[in-house]
Amino acid sequence: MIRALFTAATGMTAQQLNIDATANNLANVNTTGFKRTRVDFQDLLYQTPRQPGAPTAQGTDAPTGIQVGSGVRPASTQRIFSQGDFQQTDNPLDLVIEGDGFFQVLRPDGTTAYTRAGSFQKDANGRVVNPDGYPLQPEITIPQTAVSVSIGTDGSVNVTLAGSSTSQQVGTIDLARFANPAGLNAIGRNLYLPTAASGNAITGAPGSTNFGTLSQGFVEMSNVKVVEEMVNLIVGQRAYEAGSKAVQSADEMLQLANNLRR
Amino acid sequence: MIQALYTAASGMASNQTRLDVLANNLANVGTTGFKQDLVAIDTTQLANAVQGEGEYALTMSTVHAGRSGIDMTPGSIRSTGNLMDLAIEGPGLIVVSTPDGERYTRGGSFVRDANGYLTTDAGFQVMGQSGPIRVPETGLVIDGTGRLADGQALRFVSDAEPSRLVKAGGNLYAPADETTPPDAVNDVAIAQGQIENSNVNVVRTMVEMLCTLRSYEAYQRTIQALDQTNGQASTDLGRV
Repeated sequence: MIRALFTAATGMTAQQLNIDATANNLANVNTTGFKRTRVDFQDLLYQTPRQPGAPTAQGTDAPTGIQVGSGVRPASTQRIFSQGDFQQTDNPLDLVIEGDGFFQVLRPDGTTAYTRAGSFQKDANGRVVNPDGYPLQPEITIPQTAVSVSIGTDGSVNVTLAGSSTSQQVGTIDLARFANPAGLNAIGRNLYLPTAASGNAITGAPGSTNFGTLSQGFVEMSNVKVVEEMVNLIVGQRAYEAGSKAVQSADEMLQLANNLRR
Repeated sequence: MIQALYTAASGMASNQTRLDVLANNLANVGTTGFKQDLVAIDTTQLANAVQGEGEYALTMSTVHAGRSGIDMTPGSIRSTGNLMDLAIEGPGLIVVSTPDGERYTRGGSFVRDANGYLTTDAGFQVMGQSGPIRVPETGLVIDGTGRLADGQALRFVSDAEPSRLVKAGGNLYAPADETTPPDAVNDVAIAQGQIENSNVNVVRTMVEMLCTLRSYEAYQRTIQALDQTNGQASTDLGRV
């Protein structure tokens, strides 16, 4: 059958994935700490009926050959870890990382997951937990009698107890970073797990070399830019349409070939 | 008469190849750094002169898809804000190392691998003037000529002669002849945080697709007409 049909189909499938990724980015435009993904495409293998430089019938060398490609494939969905905008919340346990780094939370299965979403809360025991109840690591407990919590840019957590005029430190928040954050495995719920591609987590204090600093009372909004996603949507849809036209052309040509024999 | 049938059939076949190439261009309209393939239809002279009544000398020939080539015109550049994205402004190709040998690319959407090397999506290391490029701990900062602050510099080759390159898929180009790789060049402009769009011209491709379809149709009609004439020749003439 005509190769163009399948080639065009790969283009349509690829654009479908592009739209899927864009739709997910747009759906998460209000998700705290969300990082947008981008689909990267690569061309597929080529068939070379005639090599450049092959001798021609006239005894000369062909300056160019014939290469027929077989379409496109998605190479990766790359997560872009650029900084999101800050939103002021005045909630003392809302934290934002200005720069590189991830918060570490302990999942119920005992593994550590990493997140940029710094909207933390206290659980019944005063532990600092994320909205799913996963405790922040290293674990920090706010005493029940605390009247105020202040978290420094270096991650030190200080509380002032009722009836006391001085504050005391109850713990320090550490951050983790990765050689290749784009290689992290997103598991949903704003969480990431390390992979062989991302490398192991390197922990450090906020503000130390290569780590970002913390800001209290803010959350990081998603880094999705609506205009950019809309443009992506238009490009994706039109590219899909172009693919469908190629399918139509191939179909019409097949029909013509079939009509040769009347 | 029979020769004309084959000529028309070759016309259909070459237009089919042409559509294959156009469909591939359209499929890659969103592929980073993709360069469109050009295809033109050539004629091949098969047999000289079926001598007619002394007056006519017909030249029979077939057509085939020929003179394909890569259109290395730079694509438009879009800003992504991702510092691992490197777009080449103007001509040039970035050298990457693959298990099959050195390959060249303009798909500058790179990542840092777990060992700190700058690699393509597929994990092929980006080559510098002295070995693979390592991303400094402080992040990748590349100037407009492809140099890093610590002295590393990207390695480039020329794309001025597309005939010396073949596409290897995966946004990579291979040398057409491994013994004569493309020439190394130095004056290549790099734009960091930007990415090169595919240079496929959708309008032109659509028009070419229309031409291909209609020309295919014309050859089909020719075959039908020839068939009809042949039919008349064999049935009506015999009836006399």
